[in-house]
Amino acid sequence: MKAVIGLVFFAFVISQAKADAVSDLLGHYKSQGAAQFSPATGKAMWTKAFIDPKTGEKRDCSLCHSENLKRQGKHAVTGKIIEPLAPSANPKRLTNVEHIEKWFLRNCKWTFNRECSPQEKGDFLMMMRAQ
Amino acid sequence: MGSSRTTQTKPRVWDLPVRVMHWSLVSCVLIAWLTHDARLIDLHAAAGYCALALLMMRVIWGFVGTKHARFADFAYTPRAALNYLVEALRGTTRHFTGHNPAGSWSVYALLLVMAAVTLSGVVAMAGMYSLGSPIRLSPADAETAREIHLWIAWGLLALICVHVAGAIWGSFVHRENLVAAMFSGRKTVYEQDHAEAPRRVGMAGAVVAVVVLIAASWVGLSGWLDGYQKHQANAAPDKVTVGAWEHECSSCHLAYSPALLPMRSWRRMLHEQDAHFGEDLFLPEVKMRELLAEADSVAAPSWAAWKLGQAAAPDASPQRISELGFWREVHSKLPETAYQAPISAGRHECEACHRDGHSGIFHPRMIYNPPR
Repeated sequence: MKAVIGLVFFAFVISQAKADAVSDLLGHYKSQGAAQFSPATGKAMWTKAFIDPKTGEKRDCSLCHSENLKRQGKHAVTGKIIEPLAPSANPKRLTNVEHIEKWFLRNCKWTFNRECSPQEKGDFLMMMRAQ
Repeated sequence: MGSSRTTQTKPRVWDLPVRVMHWSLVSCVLIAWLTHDARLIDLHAAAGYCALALLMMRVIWGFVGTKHARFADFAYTPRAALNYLVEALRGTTRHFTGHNPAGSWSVYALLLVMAAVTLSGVVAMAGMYSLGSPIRLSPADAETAREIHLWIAWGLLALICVHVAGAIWGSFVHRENLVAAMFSGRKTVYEQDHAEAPRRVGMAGAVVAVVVLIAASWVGLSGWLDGYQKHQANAAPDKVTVGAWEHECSSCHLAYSPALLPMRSWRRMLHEQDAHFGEDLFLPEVKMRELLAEADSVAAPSWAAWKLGQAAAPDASPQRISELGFWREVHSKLPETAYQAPISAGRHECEACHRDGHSGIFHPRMIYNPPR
């Protein structure tokens, strides 16, 4: 019985730790000067097209992640399947601070040709979490 | 054997088993020659097993068969064969009912070389694809076995040319169709005391030959001797590595086995990681070291992977596996559509056709049907 309680408690701690990744990051972005976060702004930025200066290609987030975050996406260059970003469709998403930051850095650079601001990243996270 | 031209008859000289075995061997060699492509390895192996079975039966028949099938009937010394050839060049050839001395040596050579080609093939196939026998070799040894098999096969082709040339030459000199004689068994005989081969013995031998042939085909085609069954049953074989390599690479593409490129290529790739096929990877120094250490610890999981890793020029550090000579050679028959949607996203997407792309093995049995 003790073991079961311990296991339940352990699972609870783990799930809390995971759920906290977004809150932690939002707090971190606020401390970097971000204002109130808006899922609507995140959504608008998601499908806004940017022209890559080197290749002249049109790029936006949905190119690889699809417009519907609950669906699988496809890597624009390699064709590799990318699992859904929406936590409701893919519970593993938005659970690891390091992972989120790594891909914000890589993908903002690729799509917008610059890093995203803390405000933009917060808006994206709010939008994704709402899915 | 003599040339006393007293009476001339046309009895059956070559018994039924000799003829069945001869043309079956011809078929086996032809099939093997046409199926040397890795994707047809099962047919190629079946042809090889049949040839091996035929060779063994021919040797047994050489002791228990009818008169002209027996080795004792054409046990000539090399000197006798040489003398015969010298006579032939001078235009004075004697007629032999069975094999002539030079022809007998072509039979011995063919039997030996065919045994060598099938046995080296068994070793090569086991080494390259873990198929057909429990023999396991390192990729480098498998490559040696493959080369030996290839050279013996060329040698066999040369011998066959000599054998056929000899048969055609003999047909002209003695004014009889020796090729037709190998079908009907009937040959001109100048001896008076020639006794026709008993037909019942011949029929029995031929039936045994056909049964053994069917068994050998089954062994080859069913994969009964394969050590690969386990692998075949597993649709998703082991991944290359489960550490940083898999984690970092497979977010965007297949985690290619580190064995597919030399280490100098991976070092360059990580050195140029800010322009990794158009993307900046932002990998920290620690991660790069971890990835390189992991790559260095991975041995080639198969002959094919090893061959790719060896394909780069010693002074080059290629970045694209699909630009390696060996890669292009083995993919040369594929149409350009194989690298387009809906079949694949490009030459980088190994797993579109290779079910075992994750493992880096690239076994011929794990290829999906090729696109038309």
